[in-house]
Amino acid sequence: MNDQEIIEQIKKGDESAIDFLYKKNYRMMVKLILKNSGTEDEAKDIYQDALVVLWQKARQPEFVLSSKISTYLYSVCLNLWRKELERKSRHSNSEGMDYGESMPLDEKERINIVQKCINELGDACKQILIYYYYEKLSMAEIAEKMGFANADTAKTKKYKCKQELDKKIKTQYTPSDFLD
Amino acid sequence: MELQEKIDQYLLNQLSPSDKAKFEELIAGDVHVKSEVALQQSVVTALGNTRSLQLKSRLQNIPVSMSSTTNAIRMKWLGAAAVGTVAAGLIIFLFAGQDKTAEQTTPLTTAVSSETTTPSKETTVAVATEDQTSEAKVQQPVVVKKEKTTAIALEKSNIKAFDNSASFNETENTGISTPNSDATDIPTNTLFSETNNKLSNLSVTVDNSNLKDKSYQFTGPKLTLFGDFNSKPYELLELNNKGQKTLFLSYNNEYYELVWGQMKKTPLKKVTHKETIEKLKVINP
Repeated sequence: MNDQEIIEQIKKGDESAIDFLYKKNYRMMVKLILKNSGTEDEAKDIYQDALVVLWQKARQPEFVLSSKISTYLYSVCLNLWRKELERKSRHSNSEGMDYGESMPLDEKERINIVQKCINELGDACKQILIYYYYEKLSMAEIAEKMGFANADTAKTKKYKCKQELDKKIKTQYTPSDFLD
Repeated sequence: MELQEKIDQYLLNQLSPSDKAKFEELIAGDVHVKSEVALQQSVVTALGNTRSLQLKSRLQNIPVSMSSTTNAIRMKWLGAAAVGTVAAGLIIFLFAGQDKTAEQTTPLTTAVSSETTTPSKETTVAVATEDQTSEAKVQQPVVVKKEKTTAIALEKSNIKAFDNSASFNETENTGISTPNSDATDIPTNTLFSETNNKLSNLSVTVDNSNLKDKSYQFTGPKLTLFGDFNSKPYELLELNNKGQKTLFLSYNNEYYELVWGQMKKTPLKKVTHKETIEKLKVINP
């Protein structure tokens, strides 16, 4: 599988493409972090994040591969590790999702609230909403991935799942929590 | 309900530019709409985080480790070294038959570079497979008389080299160093100097857009083979004869000579010189 074929697989939503990349470039990327004061666990974490970044970018319709994938991953790993070193130097201990330094506190809190509600959803609902709102798949694509009869079924399921999520969010927290 | 649909379309970037502008006006003038959009944006962000965790969890379950990779590579090296010993033995046998003054062979257990083990009138036979991902270079030097032959065979899937064409200027400011490894220690200039004529640095790609003609081209440490090279396995062989390294491609029972650093796309020429073919057959029967 060459680089272009891998990107095409990612664009189709084929997760096995990043499995392949993970194994293929593991040693090179981990070595990079190890040589810059990281541990293998940290290196794994950074490399996995870099692959997620590649996945997110490659899923965008306008994404065009302008270098070798290994080059791309290498530079993303470097940048992520640089940020991690900076973060480490600022805070000796930090846990949880990093939403970026520039994100206002109320926005972080709001995302944490929503995240909790998403986690309470069933796996199927969670997946449908991810496919629709995050991966931006069409209803036909969601139906195919989820094994539904057709796009209409996917649309109905998505509607119900979204309703369930909104209900969870709004019954647990008052709308004023979300007002700026 | 209509508002929810509109928000969905807005967040999924499905609105036309004019509708988007109108909707943004509405957001700016209505606190309720603004808070609802912010909430739905948080839903998308949180779903993205969930997705990222799903993907990371998937990768986390793939068994990989530096040590296991190294062990696998070591096994490959050991296999290669064994093949090398056999090939070296064959060469010794052949030359011993021709030259009765040949001394008893002395296999060394430590890895010694062929460049440093060439005392006068003695030459070294070393066989090794090259893999960009390996740390150690294992060679099996054997002392013989008068002939120096280094055969380096690569399997198609083992050839990997990092293309460091990316600019990592940012790292210079933060003190992060790129690893000084065989994986990244590749020149970015267009000239491929003699010192870099190492198969360990070589990355090979096949361009089979034109299956009729076979040719090749070096771009820095990258070798591109043009033609139908995917249907059968190929091997790169390096013959080190009388101090000169020559690179050959073995494909479909034919040998082709490659000129290191040939920047121009050059047709592959079959080796016809009988003696050279015989030597190549010794290391790549």
